[in-house]
Amino acid sequence: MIAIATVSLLWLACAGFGAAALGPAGLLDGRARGERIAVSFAAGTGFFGWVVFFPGIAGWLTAPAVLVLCGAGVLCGVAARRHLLGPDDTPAEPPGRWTGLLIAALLVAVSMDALEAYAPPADADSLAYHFALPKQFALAGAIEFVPRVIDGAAPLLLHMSYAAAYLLGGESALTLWTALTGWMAGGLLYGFARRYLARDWSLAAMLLFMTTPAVLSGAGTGQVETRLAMFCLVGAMAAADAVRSGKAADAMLAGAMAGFYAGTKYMGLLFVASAGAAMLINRARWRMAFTFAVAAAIAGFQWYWWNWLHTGDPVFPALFRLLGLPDSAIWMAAHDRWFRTSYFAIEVPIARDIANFLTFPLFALLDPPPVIEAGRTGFGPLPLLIAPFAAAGLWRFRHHVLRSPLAVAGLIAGGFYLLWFWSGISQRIRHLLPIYPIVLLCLVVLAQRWSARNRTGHILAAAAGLSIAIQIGGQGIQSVNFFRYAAQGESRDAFLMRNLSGYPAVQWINTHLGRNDKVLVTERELVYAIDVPVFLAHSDLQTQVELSPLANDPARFARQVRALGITHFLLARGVDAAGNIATESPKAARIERFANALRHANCLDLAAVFPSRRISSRALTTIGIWPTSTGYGAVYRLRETPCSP
Amino acid sequence: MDPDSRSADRTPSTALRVALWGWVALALAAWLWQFRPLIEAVFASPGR
Repeated sequence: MIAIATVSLLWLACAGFGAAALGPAGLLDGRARGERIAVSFAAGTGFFGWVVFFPGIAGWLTAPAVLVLCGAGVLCGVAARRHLLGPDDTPAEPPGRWTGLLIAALLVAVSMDALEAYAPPADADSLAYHFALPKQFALAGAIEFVPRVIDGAAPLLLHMSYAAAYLLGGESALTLWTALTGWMAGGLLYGFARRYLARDWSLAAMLLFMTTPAVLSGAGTGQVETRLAMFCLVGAMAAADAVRSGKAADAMLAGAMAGFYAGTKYMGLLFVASAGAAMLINRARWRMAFTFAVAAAIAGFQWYWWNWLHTGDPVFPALFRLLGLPDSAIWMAAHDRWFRTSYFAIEVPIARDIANFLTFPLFALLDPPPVIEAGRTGFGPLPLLIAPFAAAGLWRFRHHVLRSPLAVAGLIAGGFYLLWFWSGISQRIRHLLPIYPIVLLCLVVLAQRWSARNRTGHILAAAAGLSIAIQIGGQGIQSVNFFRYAAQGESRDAFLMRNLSGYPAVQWINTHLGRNDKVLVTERELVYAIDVPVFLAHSDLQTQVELSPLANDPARFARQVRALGITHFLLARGVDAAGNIATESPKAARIERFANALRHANCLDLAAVFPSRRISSRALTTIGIWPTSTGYGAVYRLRETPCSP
Repeated sequence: MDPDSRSADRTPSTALRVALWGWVALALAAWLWQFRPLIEAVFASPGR
């Protein structure tokens, strides 16, 4: 009940902030009521994450402070209720042939999402940082700088709303908030689709998006891309409005949404560039671009400033070399060189050339390399199935297309893709998810218009229906895990034992260690579940404890862990039943070699050994068709008396 | 993106309908092909 109350309060506050900001500026005028609510919520969610930053860095990240902010948001909503809930001028449309079936399918999908929200979080990225950092900040009562690249010293605007949910309603509110914000992204797509499509096709577009494998895999977790889709949709459509109207208010909204995206993820900078370039289409191009840029800078500056304050590099560590920053405990030139070659060799598996640029979408749909995660967590079959319909529509209506706001939104999405592909950053497909609703909307509108004209709507409907059926089937497989938790009344511990590799060690740590201890872990998905202070010793992403292949000195390692106040090590793999650390394997990591050296020097005592099960797919393991491997993990205690290997 | 109101709706030719149905079927099969290890695992799992 507390979770539902928390999430309801957050929803009202976000919608209230959004309506109060957009309504008086006329930015909600002419929209249907549903679109007004969804757009207000999207803008308000960005603003909420933005405003929580300030009490966060001031050390006032407390439940009363969040309650005051929520109260202010609700009051804003009351004051702006006319803008939010006022009369709807759009003509009423009677239910269509498929309305009932589509709503029923939507309810099924939402119910399965709710099951996921009811279960404890188990997604690795969420447990490593999307939820772990908000939890850390909430417990500390302040935003703390985490000197870890990619997932620590990174933009965290949306995560501030996670911290608020956690502070007010704990873990259940956190997972319910992510479910709700995921649904709102779908609702927003429906709102914009209604501008161009009848109710049934709008519902179909919403359902297709909400059951897209990439959405199913991320929306109910802490991963931000589905929520960023809200910022992209509102931002791109506002940019389109700005291009047409030349009004500063539209450019400000577009800039603010792009800024919220950049404030949540570095890749949002690409969206800022793409949407900002669209401003140049307007006759008053420089005035519009300037307005857009100022709004984007205000909305997105916080975390870049925070990074600069602590590292000297606003996009840490991207400018480390360029700025000529000196070596320090948190980043070093030698490690930076190694990081750039090794990390990006994995993250960018597809060569950047013209042929791959043009064929990447097809390639990603049909034969993706595993590292880009485009198969079970990709975009589903729909884009491929309806591509000929959309292409024919683009040709048939080519004289009308350029006059549509959707064309500008589509160009912004295309610009984002262009920058994303050529910039050489991670090619994981989920990074394109924020712009996917724009692409989906363009594809469905073009395909529907063309098929209606050529009386092939039944074929298009069959393609959409097959895609929905497959995607809901996939969601069903994913949901067995969560259904089991709800239906069997499973405990949180039992659920995490099934879903989290190395959880027995976490249980031991939470039972036997306290706030005066500090545990070094190398398995990032264990961070959130550990309730005592923890240090994530990632081999690539940090240098406070050097564990990359460049590190060869166990004595230096010992000094570094002592300097951080580490008292225990958790090795979740590479250990036998007696707690001996295996270092013979060529795959043995630095942590295993260094820990072994410390053990031989009598610096490290075995505290406990646990059976450990490695789970490569939670959903497929639950239904019994995917193997797991077993081994052992162990916790070691670092002796207090100084000793060195 | 309003449709051109000057031209009437067209009845599709048989060739167009066959081509579109064929595309949907082939594209779906091609998309599903990437999941063959998963499908094989379903049929190979114990008790099936």
